[in-house]
Amino acid sequence: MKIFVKDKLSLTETEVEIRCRERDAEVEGIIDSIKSLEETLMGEKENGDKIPVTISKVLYFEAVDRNVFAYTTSDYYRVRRTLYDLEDELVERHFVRISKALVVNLKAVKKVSPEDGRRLKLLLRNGEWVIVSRNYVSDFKRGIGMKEA
Amino acid sequence: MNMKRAIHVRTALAKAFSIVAVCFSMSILFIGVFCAVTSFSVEGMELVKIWLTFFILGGITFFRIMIDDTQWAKSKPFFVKNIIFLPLYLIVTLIMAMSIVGMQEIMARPYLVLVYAVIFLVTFTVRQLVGYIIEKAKTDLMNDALESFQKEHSWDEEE
Repeated sequence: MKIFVKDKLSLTETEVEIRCRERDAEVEGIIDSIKSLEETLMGEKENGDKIPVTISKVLYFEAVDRNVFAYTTSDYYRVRRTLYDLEDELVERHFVRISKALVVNLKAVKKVSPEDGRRLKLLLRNGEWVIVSRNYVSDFKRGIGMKEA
Repeated sequence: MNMKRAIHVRTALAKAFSIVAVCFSMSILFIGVFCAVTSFSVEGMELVKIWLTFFILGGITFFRIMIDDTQWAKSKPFFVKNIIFLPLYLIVTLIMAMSIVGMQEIMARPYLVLVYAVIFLVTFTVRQLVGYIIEKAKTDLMNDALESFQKEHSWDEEE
């Protein structure tokens, strides 16, 4: 297998073209690998190591000061993205903003409980609780299918 | 995460300060109107005591906000935290109020203060419990919706 990389300044998005005699298992593997890149975000550990984080494994994203962190069941990573970008990009993957600083994966929510001041709290898969602000309660309800969009 | 903790402390300080500042302003306004209507005079030392009361209340509020942020507090129903903290606010306020109004009048009938405090606490607790039950009924509906949602979109750790 030969790999060619061509720099082309006119391109706005990276393009991958696979040339092959037939679409065999090796080619399918290459396609799957490339597609899986879209399923991940580049995360940064505390020691600076860069690790791809599978989006579906992220419980929630939190903005702390000017940094955004992705939390999985076992670890957390700094991601070089804004919460606004993540919110827009991941809405199809059932990520919903629940406060000014949090975007949560609805698939990772185990239980909903009431909280003071018309807020809610969510129990996540890792046993952690997060708060839904009053202003985002309707977004959360819409996300789980309680309200029509 | 030290940075996260530092930010939470800073946020809690700002929040506690703003809450207490609003309450302090309202109280000063109330005392001012009360003095104007009844021609009751407030001495300098009493103003210091009022300020001290709000300083202590600010400390309790800061502590409360910090506790609220812990996983322990988040795992408990909200009325538990309110029932724990309200007596603290009440005790500080009552002690300061008694020292400002004058102990002699109150010490003549101390049981009255106790009775009022107990009535207030019981009413507050009942109100909190009723409020929780009403809110719990609403979140039970959300849990049903969440269950349906989870059936369609299950969480897969190995995904």
